[in-house]
Amino acid sequence: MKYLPLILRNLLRNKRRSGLTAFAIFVSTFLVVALQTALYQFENPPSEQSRFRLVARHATSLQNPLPEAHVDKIRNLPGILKTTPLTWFGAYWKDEDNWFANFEIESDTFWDVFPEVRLPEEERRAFLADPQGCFVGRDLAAKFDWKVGDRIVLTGQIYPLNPELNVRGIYDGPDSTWLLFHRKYVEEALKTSAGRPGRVGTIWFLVAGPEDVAPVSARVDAAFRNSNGETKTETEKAFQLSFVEMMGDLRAIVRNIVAAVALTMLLVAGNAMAMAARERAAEAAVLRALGFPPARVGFLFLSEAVLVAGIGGLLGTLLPVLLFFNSSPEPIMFPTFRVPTGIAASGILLALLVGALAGGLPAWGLVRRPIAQALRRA
Amino acid sequence: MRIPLAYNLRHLRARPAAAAMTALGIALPTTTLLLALALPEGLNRVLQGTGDPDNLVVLRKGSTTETNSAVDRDPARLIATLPEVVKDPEERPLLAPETIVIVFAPRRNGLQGNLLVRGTGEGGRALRSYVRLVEGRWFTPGLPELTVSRRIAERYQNLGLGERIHFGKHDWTVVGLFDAQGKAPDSEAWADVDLLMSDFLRTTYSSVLVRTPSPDVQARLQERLDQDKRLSLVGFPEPEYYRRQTQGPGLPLLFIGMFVSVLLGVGAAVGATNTMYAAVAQRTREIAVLRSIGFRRRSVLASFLIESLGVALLGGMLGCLLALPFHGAVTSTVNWKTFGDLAFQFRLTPALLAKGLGFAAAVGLFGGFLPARLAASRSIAASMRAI
Repeated sequence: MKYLPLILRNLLRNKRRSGLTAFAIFVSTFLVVALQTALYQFENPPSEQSRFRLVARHATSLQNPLPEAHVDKIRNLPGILKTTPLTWFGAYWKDEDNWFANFEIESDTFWDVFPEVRLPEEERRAFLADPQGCFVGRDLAAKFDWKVGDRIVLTGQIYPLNPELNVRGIYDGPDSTWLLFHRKYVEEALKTSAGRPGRVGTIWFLVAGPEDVAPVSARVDAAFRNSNGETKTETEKAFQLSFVEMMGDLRAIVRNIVAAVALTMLLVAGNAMAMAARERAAEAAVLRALGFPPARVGFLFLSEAVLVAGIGGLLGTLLPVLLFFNSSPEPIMFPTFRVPTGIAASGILLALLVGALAGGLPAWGLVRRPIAQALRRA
Repeated sequence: MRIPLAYNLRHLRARPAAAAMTALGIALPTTTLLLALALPEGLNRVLQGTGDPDNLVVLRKGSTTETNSAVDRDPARLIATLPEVVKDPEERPLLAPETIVIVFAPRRNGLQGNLLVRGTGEGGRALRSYVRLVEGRWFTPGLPELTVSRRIAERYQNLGLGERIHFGKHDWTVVGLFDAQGKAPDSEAWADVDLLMSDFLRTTYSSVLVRTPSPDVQARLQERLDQDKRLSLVGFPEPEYYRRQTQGPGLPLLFIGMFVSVLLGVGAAVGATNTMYAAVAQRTREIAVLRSIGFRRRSVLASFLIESLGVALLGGMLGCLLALPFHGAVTSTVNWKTFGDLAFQFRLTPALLAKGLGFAAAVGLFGGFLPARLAASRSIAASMRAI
């Protein structure tokens, strides 16, 4: 510790270079932390009870609906607490690019399974009383500037129906980017449409605890084996993940990007430290001539590199932590963007590692060269 | 008067390690950018290169993709009787009622895939003459057999020739492999339309693909479909149908790639700035000498900018070289319009490589500007005294 002033003085000798290097590491660490957080939030969507919430879908294809009768059958299986169907309606508003999640819900049972969707009581009553009612998430409402009382017409792409809906409420919740409306309305309107009435998209239900997840999933799938609506039951988390994986092997992509970022960071920092070492060659030789052990001279230089990298890494980690603590950069895609502790730690650790590697080689060079030669060079 | 390039080259040779590290630092972001851009390039090449202008894709009105569409049997039969439809030598109408199913299937990399299975028939093959059988044979109508794209066979488990995969009510055997020259069917598995529909309890087709003799007749058929309220159908020329699926700038992977490249580029520019500041510091005396023998400030500025630019372009070229092995590599991502996997090749076109070099040059100029300005702005007397 007593060398700290010396290290700091050296660091501040070329303020511009130290500052720029720290800045490069700051940007890179920010990138690494933000990307890993994005992946994490994708893989672990926020939900208060997602671990005990399961979803059954058609075993063959998400495109295939399940018979409505499945809902009651599942409801009566042992081990299942609450059940509700959720059907992707797949409509857009005005323009095909106005894409958002819209679902038909069974209004009586929806809140049994999704209590985190918080709708003020009077708005909820207004929604239940209006067959053409709908309610939307706060983020979605803000995006399209929808207010309670608005009448909106959606264009259906999957079913030949353009629902005319009244916004009856605005909900808050971990994911407030959905529009939800009565399943009855669609069933009524599509009464004569081939292949639609009496079908639901997915069935969601709660189990008592984590130990029930595996046996209950197996029980549900067994109940419909060899029927014309075989199911695949999985946790909410696994279900969400299957959508993310449709995009490609995200984990591999993020891993490769992190490697590229780390390598760039190393090159920038390594180059800066090599330049510093060149300038410092004579001084290091003097220190050693004065009797400082080579290890200590090397250590002084190395600490400098680690310190610069550490400062950059710390700032690069803190920025996303503070910036996204309460607001997500892209609320539709990521309802929350909080940086998990493990990822924050890995960001700082990576920066320190880069500092150590970047300082290591030049430090070794400073220590190894014979004193006389280094002094003569200067 | 310009300072000769040889001056910069000699300096780069004197400090090759610093130049190499700076260049490599610029190469990596360039590679990242190229790979990100090669993604939509390859994806959209598939979608923009598929489709015969003589073919019309008939869907339910309101649908824009086969996944969302449903065409009842009666209208499908009616289309076959329309005079606008081309007849084959045996006087049969040249058309293909088809159905598509997106099936969950494990990929060879262990991830879940969304395989697009197309139920079709002889007409579907006749209307897509570029699809060639390369191994085995075509599926037999009425039997649970698949003929799959060779590209898909390589990417999915249980889809190699002779292997079996279960979906619907059958174990389907792969009896043949086809090649669709990189067009959209190269992401598909084909089966008999009637059997596939009965397996999935479907009573409606997804689409009807129709051959028309000329653009005029095709336009007439489109109009007829549009006017007939009972049919409630819509026709898209096949190339337009696929073009509408073009994945826009909102492609998440492209967005991530650009975001990463730009931030990495900033980091690399900072690296270049560091290197150039060191170069300026080392050459304080030389700069003063150059100035005193008559070189202007702007010549000094230009000389340092050119040096930085040169190192950056070297890095840019290296970045292009690093990206080149990925050219032609097959990968897939979801087609958000159909929710099926779409296989495509990374494509590094000359235009893309030029963009990569442009990016590297921008990084070099951006990184070199401040040091170059410093070099140019110093007064001769001060520089001489500083030594």
